Amino acid sequence: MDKALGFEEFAGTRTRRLFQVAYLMCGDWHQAQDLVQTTLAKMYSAWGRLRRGRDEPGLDAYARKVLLRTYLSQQRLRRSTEVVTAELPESWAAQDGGSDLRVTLTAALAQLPPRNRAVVVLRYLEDHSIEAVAEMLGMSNSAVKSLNTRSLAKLREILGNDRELFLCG
Amino acid sequence: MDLEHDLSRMLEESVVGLSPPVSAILDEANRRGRRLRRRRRLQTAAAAVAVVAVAGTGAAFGLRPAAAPPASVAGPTATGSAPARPAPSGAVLPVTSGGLLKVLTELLPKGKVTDFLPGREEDPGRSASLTARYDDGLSPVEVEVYLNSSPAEPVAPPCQPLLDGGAHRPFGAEPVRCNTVSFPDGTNGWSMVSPAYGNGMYYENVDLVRPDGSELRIRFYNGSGGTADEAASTVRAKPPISPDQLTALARDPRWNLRASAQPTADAPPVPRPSGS
Repeated sequence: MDKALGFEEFAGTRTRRLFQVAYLMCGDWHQAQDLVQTTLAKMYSAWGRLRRGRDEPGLDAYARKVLLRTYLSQQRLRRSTEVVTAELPESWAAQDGGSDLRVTLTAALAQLPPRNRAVVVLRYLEDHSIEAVAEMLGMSNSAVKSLNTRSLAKLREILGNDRELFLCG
Repeated sequence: MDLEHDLSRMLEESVVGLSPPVSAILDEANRRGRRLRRRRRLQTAAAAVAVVAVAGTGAAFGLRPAAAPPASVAGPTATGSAPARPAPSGAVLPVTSGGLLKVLTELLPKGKVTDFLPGREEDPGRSASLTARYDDGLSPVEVEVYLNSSPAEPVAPPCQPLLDGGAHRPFGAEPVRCNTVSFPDGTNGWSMVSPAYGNGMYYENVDLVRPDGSELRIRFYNGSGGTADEAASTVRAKPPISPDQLTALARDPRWNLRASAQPTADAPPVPRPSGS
């Protein structure tokens, strides 16, 4: 298979899902777009090497790892320039005309620290195992389990009755 | 039922309606990927050249002597209120990346130009481009220059910042904007400030179509590093020159490089990429 075509095919079929993952992690349409662009750019630049050493599931896992690390890296860089406000910025709410469920979930996820958000998204949207998430994050399994437990407890507290409404609806 | 059992379905349903601009994402990813790969190749090539030089076999490989245009220039010059660099030789340079670098280093305020990288698809005498780093003493920034003496295709539609103003940029950054510019001699174009990467990078860009039909585009970032290594990237509040200074720089007649079918003897040799 042609190398360039291979990347185009891979990127074209994964962009939407990567964007969904990125969006739930960061809650910002534009940052999600940038995260996916950066992830794919990094893969493009090393595509020959990546293709030789990995099958498609391996490439998918690698893409998640790059996305996750890029996201965490950006969060570190952003921390020093962010302005704390009493209310969530508009981008968390109706910027993209999202559904009520999406608005509620992204707002809830926004109250978790970045690593916790990543764990929740990778575990429950992407259905990765604790071991796989630990490998992506470069943490121990027990640390990921702990993050996961704390994140779920926090989400239960935040979502409260909202969850019942969405489940009933 | 416990949240753990519902969360997967809730998350999956929440993203069903998300429709990202896939083609725009792919275009930008390809552009950044090519840039990243060029930079990596440059680093590899620079390391190889260093090894060859140390081994004393540079001459056997046809490496140019130090007479090449300086990739590292420190001198006076003028954009806005900055002092002027030494006057140019007066000869009209041909359209090559070496010519672009020479004009750029003449016009920039005092500082160093390093990491010169000629465009991969240069067509000497017709179109050329380069990327480089410029350090005015505060912190290095990336610079891109592109000149096409006879664009075969219409110039791309103007005023399309990569993202809107919601991207994350440092405090004090230039506001995101795009506006057209025109001058009495018939030069038209646009001046733009646009976010670039999520790590706070953004750029000032001026794109001019001159009366002879040639297109000149100059872009100054507010930092270096790009997507290559976020940990190593540095950003500053603003690029080293303002958008107005950038437009003035692009208007300098020294950018009127000579279009020709072949590069001529007085063409400055393409300098070897310099390490950082």
